[in-house]
Amino acid sequence: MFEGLKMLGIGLGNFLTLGTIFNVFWATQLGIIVGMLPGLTATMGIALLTTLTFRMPADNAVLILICMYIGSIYGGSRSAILLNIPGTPANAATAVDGHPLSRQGRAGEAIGIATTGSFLGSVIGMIMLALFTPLIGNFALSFQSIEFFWLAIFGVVISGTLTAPKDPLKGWISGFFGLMIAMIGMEGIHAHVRFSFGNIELSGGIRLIPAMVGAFGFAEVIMMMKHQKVEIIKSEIKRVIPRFMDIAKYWKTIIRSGLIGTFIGAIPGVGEDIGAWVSYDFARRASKESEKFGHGSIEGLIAAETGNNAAVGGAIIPVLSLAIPGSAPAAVLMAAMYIHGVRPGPLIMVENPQFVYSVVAMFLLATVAMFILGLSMVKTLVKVLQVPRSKLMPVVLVLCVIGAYAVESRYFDIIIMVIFGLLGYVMQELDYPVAPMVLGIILGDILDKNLRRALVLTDGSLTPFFTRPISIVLIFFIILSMVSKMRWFNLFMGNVKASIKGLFKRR
Amino acid sequence: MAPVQTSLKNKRPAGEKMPRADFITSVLLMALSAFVIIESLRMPRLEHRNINPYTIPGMVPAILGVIMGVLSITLFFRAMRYGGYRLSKHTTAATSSSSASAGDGSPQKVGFWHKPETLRVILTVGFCLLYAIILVGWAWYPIATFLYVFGFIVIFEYDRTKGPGEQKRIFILAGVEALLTAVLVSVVFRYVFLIRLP
Repeated sequence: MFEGLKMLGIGLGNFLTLGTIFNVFWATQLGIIVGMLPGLTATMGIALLTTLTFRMPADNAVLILICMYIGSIYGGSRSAILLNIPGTPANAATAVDGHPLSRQGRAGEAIGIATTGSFLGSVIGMIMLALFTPLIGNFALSFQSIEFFWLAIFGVVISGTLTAPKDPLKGWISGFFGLMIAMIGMEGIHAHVRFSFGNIELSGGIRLIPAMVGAFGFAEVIMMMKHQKVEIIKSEIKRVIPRFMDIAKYWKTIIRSGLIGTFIGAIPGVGEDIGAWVSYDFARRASKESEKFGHGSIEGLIAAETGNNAAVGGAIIPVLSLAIPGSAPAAVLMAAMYIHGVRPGPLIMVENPQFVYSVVAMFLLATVAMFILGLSMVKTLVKVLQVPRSKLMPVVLVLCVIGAYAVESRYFDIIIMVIFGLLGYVMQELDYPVAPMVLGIILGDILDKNLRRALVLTDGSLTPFFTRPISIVLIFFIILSMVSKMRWFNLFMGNVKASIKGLFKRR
Repeated sequence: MAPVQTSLKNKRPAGEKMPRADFITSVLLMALSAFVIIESLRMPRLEHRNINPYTIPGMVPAILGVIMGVLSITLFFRAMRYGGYRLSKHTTAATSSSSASAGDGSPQKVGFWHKPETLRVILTVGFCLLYAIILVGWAWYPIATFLYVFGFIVIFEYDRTKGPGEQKRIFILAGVEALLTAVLVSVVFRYVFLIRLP
């Protein structure tokens, strides 16, 4: 524990130089702008910055990426409040109560509250990150091939269930499709090249960053251009700095949303958007003034913004401890860590514990920068929202093309970007979530190697797959997440609940 | 922008929304899984290398193919239940509008090819493909970028009801922005990040 604090202190100390602070501020401010602009998401922002930072030293590069991550998830709340368009998918829940507030002429207040909520959410996420990464990392040291196999299946299934709550079947299809994509190229045990059809470029496999730049960048460009432009609300922004009592009144909501957000963020492939929705939903149910939700409730706005920023910290926990991303932006962050030679995973607490605490320190700096920047220059920045889409989107595509190309200077990566962009767009139109597919692309290799290794270890016996304690827990959650969406299960659970309630009533 | 959810809960059964699209997708996915399974079975077993038979390269793809097969068959039957096999648009529209009376109006009334959104999507995709696939490989990068940005802005902002003389502003602004983008992106990537441009 104290060793952790010491390492955190060292980490923080290393970053307190003028150059680093300068990096923190520009990266966070850029993140806020990226988040504000609908069509530029956190994923896209991190992917682009990865290409721009990959000649920097590892620590600085990861710091800038984390600033971008936190800044953009927060920045999306601006457009959600002022335009009723979430700047990133994570801010969809923010729009529900934030926009009515700005219609009532309280836009400045809403921005201030969203900023404070994001700040507190981020702080809670950071504390959980510092506490749980070492714990989970040490626990995961006991994982063997069988557990990693189940973890990969668990990730894809649960991500499919939660990112497509209306139609989980499509979420699972998306996840397994991602696993299939990961099968393309050279496999990890015998170096046999699969599904390349004689194409040399394909034998290297599908790279994550071009695929994600396509699925989250190019696909967004098409989505944004599909719809006509919207008018910005001319709401006068008066006081931005929130009153202490407005926030303190809802301390329970803040803590609850922070914890829920972190937890949801930590689930593989389930990111900030779901984190915000779930904490919003919980806040509404627990609230004394739930009738105000949807009509400009301060509590709802706080819940949504605390939830999504807490999910950022949550999403980084499995990245560091298991090498499994908790969300789409975290997946790019993880890819960037690999590019910089940092190898996250269970061994990180053995090989490089300082890095974990450095990440916490980076998180702290980014959070503070977000808070300061979020409360200043509000009026100037709002002007960014007035840039018309037809002027912004071609530039975004230019960045997508160069971003996909830059990491490895391969023309083939541009083609991958385009294919995944079209695929991502079609998937969105047909209601397939994209995040499980991305997670599948990452987990495919883990699944492939570990299933085959496990079969060698057990000599083909399937029994250990179902009898080892951690496997049983994972299987339980896989089955639960699958059946919980089926009608008969919900009817059954409803009956069980009713009969339990009945038992207590009779007394 | 990703499709914005309005709530986590939805009482309407999944699969009712787009049975026809689901039907077509499920058939494509079934074909994909069949293809993957066959390819995996045909994959070399590397016997000459004396590898452990449980580690043959085709193992995991084959399993994934089977899982995807099961999922796509489920989707197939669900789409069948909601009448997705009826390939004529009108019958589908009739069934879905009768069952979705409480839903979001009747979006299928205007034909897909006649919606303004369709044109916008086709224009966007066409322009982006032209740039990313053809222009970047063929022309010098800054020129390709300039042409693309300029063309994109003009296409989307040009108002056909007015004469070109009245809209000089659009051309000038588009030109300035295209020039700035092309020069800035090229210079920054070439000289700051030291990347050989495509």
